[in-house]
Amino acid sequence: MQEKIRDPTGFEAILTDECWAHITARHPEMEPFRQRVIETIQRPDGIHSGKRDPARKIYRKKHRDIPLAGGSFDLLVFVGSADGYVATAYFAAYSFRMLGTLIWPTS
Amino acid sequence: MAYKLVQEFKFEKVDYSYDRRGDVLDILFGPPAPAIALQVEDWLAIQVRINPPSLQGMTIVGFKRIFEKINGYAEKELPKRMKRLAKVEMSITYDDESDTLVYRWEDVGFSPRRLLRKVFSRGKGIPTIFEPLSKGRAVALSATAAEQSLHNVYVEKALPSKDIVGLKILEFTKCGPAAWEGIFGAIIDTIFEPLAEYDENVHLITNALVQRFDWRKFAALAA
Repeated sequence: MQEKIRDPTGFEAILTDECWAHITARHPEMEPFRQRVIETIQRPDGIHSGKRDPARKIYRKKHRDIPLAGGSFDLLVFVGSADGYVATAYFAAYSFRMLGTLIWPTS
Repeated sequence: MAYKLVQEFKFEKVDYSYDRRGDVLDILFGPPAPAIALQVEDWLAIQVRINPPSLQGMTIVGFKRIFEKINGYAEKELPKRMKRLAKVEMSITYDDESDTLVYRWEDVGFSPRRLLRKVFSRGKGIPTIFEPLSKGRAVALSATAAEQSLHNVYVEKALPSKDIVGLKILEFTKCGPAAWEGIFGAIIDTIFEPLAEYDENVHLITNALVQRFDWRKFAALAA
């Protein structure tokens, strides 16, 4: 199955079963959160362009009710700008440095 | 003072899992397990296992581009890195009385230096000294918490070789995350920002880290 997910800028990201299998094989905690990944692309708190790899979009959204270790976490979803495929996704407790240039929202 | 072993792992048993389509490299220090990330920069995350809390691995997004950068640094700084690839054991210990976290790594393969060390130290362990990670840098009043926390980070050097064999973070409960931010920030800037000013120990710790990974595997993945 392949899902096309439109972000607030009109860009279409693609999440396939194959992508999802790759993600959950390495990050088993993501298994129940496919829908959260889709929501994060559709309604992010912010979209960043990678500092070291500007061809990478990073979608960030805070989720407050994740029963992993208690507390709220940022779900980060990494998407290739050129092909639109979701490369990986995971929950982050803390970001040491900026996730690159904020490209959305613009103001 | 009683240091409690938190985690121990062997670098040669690290698993490298690469997704070519997404260009994502996951470096796993054990079988996949639920983890939470500490995002160091947009391309690098440290994955921390939830139960029990331990270092689970690292995720590198955009691996090919990152590999080119790190390989460029390694070719310049560490031309003999392939020869020095060794079996390395790393241990993480914590002392709650002094609130100190200690990382130590040791080459466990055969080498004449290691043999001599064993003969002459008679099982007492090698003599070492501690030096501040960033001894030459004055911290400005406007410095970030990460920059300030570098003053709680010490490198452990073997004598007489002065090879880096460990790292110690003081006031870990208070400064741990900021110290990690400072350490990784310094390492990343050393590799990616040639004009960044860090002193010798930051270069040495960067080199020590870069040397520990399997570069033949990295090169094959990036090909």
